[in-house]
Formats: sequence, C-alpha cells, structure tokens
Amino acid sequence: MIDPPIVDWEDVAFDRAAAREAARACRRLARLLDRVATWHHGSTSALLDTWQGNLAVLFANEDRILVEHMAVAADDLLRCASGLDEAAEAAGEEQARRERGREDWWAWDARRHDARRVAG
Amino acid sequence: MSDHVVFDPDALAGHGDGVADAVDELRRAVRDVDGALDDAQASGHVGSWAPGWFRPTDHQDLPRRLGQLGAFTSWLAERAATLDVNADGLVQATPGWADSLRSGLLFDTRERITAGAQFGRWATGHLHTPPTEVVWGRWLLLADDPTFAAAALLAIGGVPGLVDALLAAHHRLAPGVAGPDLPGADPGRIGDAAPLPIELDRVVRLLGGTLGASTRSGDWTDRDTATLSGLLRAAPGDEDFAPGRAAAVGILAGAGQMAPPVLANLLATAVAVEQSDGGMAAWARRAAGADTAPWPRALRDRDGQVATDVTSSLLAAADTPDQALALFRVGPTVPGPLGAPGRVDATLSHLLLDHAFDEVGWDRLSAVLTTAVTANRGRGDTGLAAAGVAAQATTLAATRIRRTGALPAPLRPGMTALLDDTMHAVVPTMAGVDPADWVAQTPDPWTYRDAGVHPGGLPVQPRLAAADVEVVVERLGSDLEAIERLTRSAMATLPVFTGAAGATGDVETMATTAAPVGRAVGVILGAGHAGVVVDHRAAERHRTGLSNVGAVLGLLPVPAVSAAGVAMQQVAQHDLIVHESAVPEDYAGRSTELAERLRLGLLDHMLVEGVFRVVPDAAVRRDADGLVVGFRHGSGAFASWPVHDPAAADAMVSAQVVAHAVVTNGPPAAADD
Repeated sequence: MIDPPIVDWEDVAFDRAAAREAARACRRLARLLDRVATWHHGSTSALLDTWQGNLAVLFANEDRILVEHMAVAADDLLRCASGLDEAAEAAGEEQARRERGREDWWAWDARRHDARRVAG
Repeated sequence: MSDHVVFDPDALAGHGDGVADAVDELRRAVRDVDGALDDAQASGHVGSWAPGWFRPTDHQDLPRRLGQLGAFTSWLAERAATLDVNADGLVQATPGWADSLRSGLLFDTRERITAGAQFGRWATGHLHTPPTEVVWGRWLLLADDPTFAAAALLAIGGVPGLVDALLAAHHRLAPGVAGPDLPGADPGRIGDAAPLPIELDRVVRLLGGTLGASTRSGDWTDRDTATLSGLLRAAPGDEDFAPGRAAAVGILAGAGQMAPPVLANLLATAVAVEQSDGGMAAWARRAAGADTAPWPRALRDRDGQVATDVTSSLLAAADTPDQALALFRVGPTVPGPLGAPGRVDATLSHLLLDHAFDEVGWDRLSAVLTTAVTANRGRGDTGLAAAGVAAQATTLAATRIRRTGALPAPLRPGMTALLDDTMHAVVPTMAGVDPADWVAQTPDPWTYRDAGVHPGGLPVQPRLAAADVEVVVERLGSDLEAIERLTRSAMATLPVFTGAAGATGDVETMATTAAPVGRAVGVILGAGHAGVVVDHRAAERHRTGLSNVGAVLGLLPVPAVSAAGVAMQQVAQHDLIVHESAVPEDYAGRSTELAERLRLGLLDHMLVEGVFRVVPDAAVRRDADGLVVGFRHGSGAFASWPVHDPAAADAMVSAQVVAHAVVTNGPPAAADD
C-alpha cells in the first residue's frame, strides 16, 4: 500500500470576494484619479491662460506636483490591484491544490478500505 | 488689484467648485479602497499570496491636497475684489487671508510650523536630506505664511552659530561670491547636502518680508507684537535668545513692509534692549552692516520706504514720546568730543525728519517732538537728544520755508512752542541749572528793526564795516595742529575769523591757543548740536576750565548765521568765531554765507528776519539766593535763575549772549517798553 498523500485539510485563508472587491476599488480609484488629474490639469491650464503672477506660479507648481502624485498613486493602486489579483489567483490555486489533495486522500482512503475488505 | 496679479475670478471659482465635486468623489473612492483593502487583508494574508504586494497609502492624502488647491482658487476668487499681491507674491492687506490659512484651508498650523522648522534647518545646511518636490512645493506655497516664516526663523536662530553665518550670507552672498566658511559649504552657497536653489539673503528677505507683510494683515494683534518684543528682550542664556536674534534678522529684513505701529514698537524695544545690555539693536546693526546703522542702509535699499514707515511710526507713537524719540536715536553711536556716544545721528535724523514733513506734516511732527522734548526735559542726555531732534526739525522747517520764499516766516505756533521747549531743555542743562527754574522771559525780537535799540536798553550794535571784516572761511576738520596754526594766524591778522569745525577738541584747541594772549573764542552751534555738542561743549568747558569760550546757540541754520552775526557784534572781543554745523555737507556753505553776510553788513537785515531773540546783558550776580545768571528783560527787570555750577555760569556769561530762537506766527509785537 502506498503512503497516504499529504493533505492540508484547512482551507486557504483568503477571501477572494474581498480581494476582488478591493482590486476593483483600487482600479476604480485609479481611473478616478486619472480622470481627476486630467480634468484638473486641463482646468488649471485654462486658469493659467488668464492667471498671472507669483501665486499662479506657485499654484501651477503645486498642481504639477499633485498631478504627478496622482499618477503615481494611480499606478500604485493598479499595482496593488494586480497584486490582489495575483494573490487571489495564488490563493485559489492553493485552495484548488488542497482540494485536489483532499480528493486524492479520499481516493487513497477508499482504495485502502477496498484493500482491507479483499484481505479480510 | 495689484498689477502683479491677473486672473479671472469666475474661472477660479469654477475651478474651485469643480475641485470640490471631485474631492467628494475621490474621498468616497478612497474610503472604499481602504475599506476593501482592510477586508482583503483581514481575511487573506494578501502579502503571503502575492510576494511583493504592498498596500498603497499615498492616495489617502490626495483628496485633501486637491481640496487645498480648490480651496485656494475659491478663496482667491472670493477675495478677488480686494486682493493685493506684491511683487514677491505675498498677499498683503487681505482680510481673512491668515484666517483662511489658520482654518486649515491650506495647511494646518502643525504642518506650517513643521514645514517652517524644516525649511529653517535646511536653509542653514542642517537638513541633510534634499527636499523632495513635495516638500519644496509646500515650502513655496507656504512662503507667504507668517507661521511658517516664524518657525523657519526660529529654527534658523536656534542653531548655534548659524545666525552669524546667516547674517554674513545676507550681505556677502551674491552670484559668484563665496559664502561663509561653513563645513561643506559650496562657494556662494550654504548647505552641505545640495546647492541651495535660492540664496540665503533671499531667504531672509522672503521670511522677513512675510513677517513684515503679516503685521499689516488684519489678523495681526498686539499680542503678536508683544511676542516679538519678548523675543527681542531675551538675554544671553535665555531660551529665547537665539530665536530672538533670528527675529531681529527677520524684523530687519521685513522692516520696510511692517505696519508702522509694530515697527515703532519693535524698534523702541530694540533700542531699549541695546541701551540695557547692548543686545538686539546691535544685532540689527550687524545685519545691516558692520559699521552702519540699519536705517541708512535700509533707506538706501528701499528708496525711502523705511523712512516713510518710521515717520508714520512716529505719528503712531505720538502718545509715547520716549518711543518716538527712540526712533530718531537709532543711529550709529559715534563717539562724541568726550568719548561719550553721540545720541543723534545728524544725517539720519535729517533724512527721517525730511520725510516726516512730507508724511505727517509739520503740525503733527512738532506736536510729537514738543511732547518728546517736554517729557524728557531735564533728563540729561535724553533731554538733550530730544532737543537736538527738535532743533533739527525746526532747522528743516525753516529751510523749507526759506526755500519757498516765505520769509519773513509766518511759521506756525507749534514751532514756537517746540523751540521754546527745546531751549528750555537745552539751555538750563547747558548752564547746569534746574530746568524748573528756567523761565522764558526773552524780549521781543522785532523791536530791533523799528526801535533801533535793544529792548533791554542796549543799542543795536553798529554794523561791522565791511572793511573791518576780514573773513577767512576754513573747514577746520579734525587736524588739531592745523586748527592751532589757523588760530594763531587768525589772531595775528584778522579781526574776525570764521571756520567750520566739529572735530573732537577743536574748540578746546582754539581756546587753549587764544587764552594766553587774552583772546576769546565764540562758538556758534548749529542745529543738531543742541542736544549733543552743546552738552559736550559745556562739559568740555567745565572740564578744561577754559573761560574764554563763549557759545551761541543757533537752532536754525540761516538764523544761526544771523545769530552768529549778532553774536559777533556782541562778542567781538571773542575774536575767533567757530561755526559748528550739524550737517557736514553744509560746513562750507554755512560758513560762506556767514562770511558773506558779515562782509556785506547784513546783520540788521538778518535781525529783521526776526527769528532770534538776543539776550544780551547776560551776567552773573550773587544775590540772596546765591549765584545767579540772568539777563535784563525788556521791562528792565533782571530775569535770573540760580546757577549751581560757577563754571557753567562763567561759560554762559563769557558768551555774553544767548541767542534764543523764536519763531512767531505773525507780525512782530510792539515793544513792551
């Protein structure tokens, strides 16, 4: 009789629905940031057509920095969402592997019972 | 609206509204993301399933920052009607501006303080991490915030030794010029982490300008002023000493933009502190230059703006004469004839007073100075300094009036009052008498012209015939040996000698030279010397015991010449006339004018100008009250006041005259006898 397969009887601790929702939220916010940054930059550019002076320069600088940071944050969020996807995928694969292991164990267990009956 | 800013308020408002909507949406989305990530992490050990996974946080601050920009444009739009922005982009005199900042529309107080301190440490090279663009952006955005500026200055001042460096940098840094020798400093820069994007002097100007501008904002309170004054008063060893020094730098840099009452208060504080321990004002001077007072430099740098402000400060400080006086006393402490510090910088006072006429007008100025003189009467150097300032003010007034051809001068009553008070402050001090005993009982000057006799009974002196007058006009300078040679030469060859002097020991030299041959020296003291030179001359005479020196007080420049003429008639026996002038540039001019008038015999004419009362017949008597010095009044009575110091009495009588400057506002009154 071959040895029993190693089985992890615990399910993977990963809420795929939550991860999916988190990834979706991240992508939604990233899209929103992109849209807001585009809008804000456009709005600021229009403002600066008529707005001159040092305050305008300061404002433009701050706007540029903010828009850049929005882009960075959006990228971060997208990477985060991708990470969540990857985690969900990895967790799912692990869960599937564990379930396959369990099926294998049950199959092994069934074969063991059959063997005992034949022997008895 | 300033020329420096142009914008469309509607567009700004629209932008602000759009941002507000976007911020709401962003906030919801951020909240959703953070909640979802919390859920995912709580149930999933996400990181363990996705190596390299990270939870982003930068997005959390974005709605607030976007909101700041939106609030900024909204705020700007709201205040478009009243907004004024100066060339540096500093919002000035915009009610609610600081309130907006403080309410957190832009940055909260903690952020501003933190950013300011960070900026200060970076500006002094003690922040080794180069600022990120975010930090830079905040600094720039906060550049016009007083809390930020104050925090930065405190941070700068809190680093031992770096205020010196900062001050040095303030004056030395310029493109291509090496900066102070700080460790790791780049040429022309301070800071060992990265080249500074801006020079430190600009930092100082920016921060000082911010402080200055903030004092003009609606939210500046007396408490803020008191806080700054408290910093200035900090003594070495106090916790606030270094911040106080930094505050002085900021105050200096921002003085041109400060609200006049605040500036007056701080200056008076600085002066008071300096007088007590040589502290803060000295720092301000160092900041302005090693050997010059801050105001002349500031005047040059700011094209008179500071003078205007200080003048306005004077107006604001009218109820506190000591303070007003202190403003005029901010000047280099030039050693006087006896080595004592001079209290009045003539050129500076002249400059400030000149502005005062334009800015606050004579009425107000004379009222302030009269108050100052009166309040300080009998207070030694302080009283004399007040009188000196007042004398200069009257000098300027007379000069201006004369320039406009208004003589005989229908001057204003305030000038009479001021001059009376000035004389009452100076003369008794000079004579060493109790000011309370000095009573103005001078005869009317106008009677000379009509009566041809002095009200006191003395005939008007015959003119010196032109042929009798040989005048040598010399600027004696400070070469005492030359003065001695000139004195000997003049005594040998000339009946009258006039020279402009002002050097330490000049009069003493002349008197010492003349005494052995029985000659005397008459000193004509010009305006400005009333508070300084007179005192020192009197002291000098006391010290040397010279009795052949007579003094004539001339409180107006041209009338001083008149007085000189009068004095020369009265004190012809003095032989040698030394003309002291408060303004070096005027030495030659005044001496020349004096000489010409002497030569042309214009003394009567000058009397007709009517600005001097001559008090001849001064004498020393001993009566029941002891030694008195006095003169015969127009009524024939002998007005006198006690003299406690025989040397002073001798000095006065040796002058024979006390020319009492008086200005009237109308035609001469009839003689009373």
